[in-house]
Amino acid sequence: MILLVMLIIPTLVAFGFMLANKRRIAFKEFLIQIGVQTFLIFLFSLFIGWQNTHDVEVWNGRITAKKTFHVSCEHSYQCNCYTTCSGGRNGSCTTHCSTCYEHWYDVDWEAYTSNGETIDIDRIDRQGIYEPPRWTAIQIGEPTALPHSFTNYVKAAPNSLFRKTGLVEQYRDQIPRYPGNVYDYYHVNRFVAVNLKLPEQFKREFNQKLEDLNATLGRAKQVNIIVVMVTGMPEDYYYALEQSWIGGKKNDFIIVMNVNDIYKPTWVKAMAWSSNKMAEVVVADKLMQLDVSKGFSIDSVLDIAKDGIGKNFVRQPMNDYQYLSKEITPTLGQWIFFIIVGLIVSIGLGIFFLQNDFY
Amino acid sequence: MTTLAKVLLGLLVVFGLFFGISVSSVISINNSLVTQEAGLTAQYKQNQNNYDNFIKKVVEVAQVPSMMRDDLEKVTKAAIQGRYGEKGSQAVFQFIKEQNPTVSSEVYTKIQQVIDSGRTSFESEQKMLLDKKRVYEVSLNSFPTSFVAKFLGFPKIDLSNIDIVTSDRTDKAFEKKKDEPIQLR
Repeated sequence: MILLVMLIIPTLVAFGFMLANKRRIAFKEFLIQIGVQTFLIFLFSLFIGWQNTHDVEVWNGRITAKKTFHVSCEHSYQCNCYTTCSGGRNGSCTTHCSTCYEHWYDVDWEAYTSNGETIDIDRIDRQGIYEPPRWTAIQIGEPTALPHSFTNYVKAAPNSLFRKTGLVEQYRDQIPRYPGNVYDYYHVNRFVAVNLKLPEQFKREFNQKLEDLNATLGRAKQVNIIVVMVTGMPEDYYYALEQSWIGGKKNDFIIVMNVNDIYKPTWVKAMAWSSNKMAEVVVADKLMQLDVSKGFSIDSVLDIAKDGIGKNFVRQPMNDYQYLSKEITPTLGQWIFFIIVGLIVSIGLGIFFLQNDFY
Repeated sequence: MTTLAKVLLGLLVVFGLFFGISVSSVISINNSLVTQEAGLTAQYKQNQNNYDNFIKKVVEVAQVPSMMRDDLEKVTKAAIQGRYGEKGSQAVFQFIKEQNPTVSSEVYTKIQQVIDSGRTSFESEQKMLLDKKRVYEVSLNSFPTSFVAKFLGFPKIDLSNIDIVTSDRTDKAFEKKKDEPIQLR
């Protein structure tokens, strides 16, 4: 139905052009206009579907192998050029060139993960002859975290009951950005501290240990664990975060933990797209009983997460939410953009056919 | 080609195009509504299945004498329907303790976790049922799908039967616009 609405204006414009300039725009040219517009609208609808549901999740695994090998040279240039002329004094000249390559071959430096991903390490010289130190540093068994696209139907349905509303505004300054940025080829920091002044060493250690846990559980349980540690927040904060992050990505298990001044959890909640909520309940329950009398222990927190998620977490397939695909409609901005583009194309084609006679 | 012929042919192409798209839209709407109705019915049955499994699981974990199982099921059903509020699992503990005073604290913890996760999971399933119903009703009532849906005879299922499980207490509270204090037993 959207196609019909989108097609009305360009069709009227094309028809108007043909009627107003009946001698200069042939009927076949009018048909071409309609054909181009129909194809454009088809591309638009594909684009809307993709843009509104496109999302990225992090897959966790470990390095399984690293290899180096010769590949065809990528550095081409034009060589052996010569010019030929024809047509005498008023004729034209053409330059002919061959394609040459700087090297006989290039060298690629790659590493592979337990999820079947390939990590391409940048060369340190143009051809790749010298071994990159980053490639040398890669250890077999090292944890990896790499982004993968997926279709998020919930993201495309703002009216769904699975979309919370009305809380983000209240906590706008305390809602952190979703931790999905990949750095140093295959690392993602997934420990997030809000309102807490923690030593950098503590954050680094938490992130390293969390990455290792994710690597252990990642492939087996299809999970990406994130820990958000906050202080001085009511439980509503959790729902604001849920609203802002749209419940997390489809493989996320997000532990939100509010702690007091001695880092004892005062409330804990876990967010995940799981069919069995046992993992969320068990992890939250056990973290509430966390013993901090001898200080806060990262290992204790992550052991609870490992046990609870390892034994109970069952990821819910995003296909369960496919019914929401009925709600994929263009946003106001997309409508305006597509109508303007449609108008520009139909007017442009009209003018083009006025100036050029093809039939 | 004369101007009149051009205009007629142009109109024919435009109408042909719109007719083609309209026919394919009607087919697509029909198929979409059929799929949505099937999804609603399946989700309704899934909710019943989830509800049944949850109660069985609580009874299994609770380790009460077999003659007390029916009573425990009743208390658990009330807990899952939110009749005892947020801390509904305490009513179930109280019942179990009366039947089996020697029950261990590990069993209590396990029951509490089963009830909490079961309630959350059931709530999520109920939410999905309501969400599917919402999407279907939007499809049925939005322009121009509503005309096609009416013409094709949708809805073909009784939508009033597709509803969530609540408790008498909730119904009463919404009817009177007033709630009473929560009492565990």
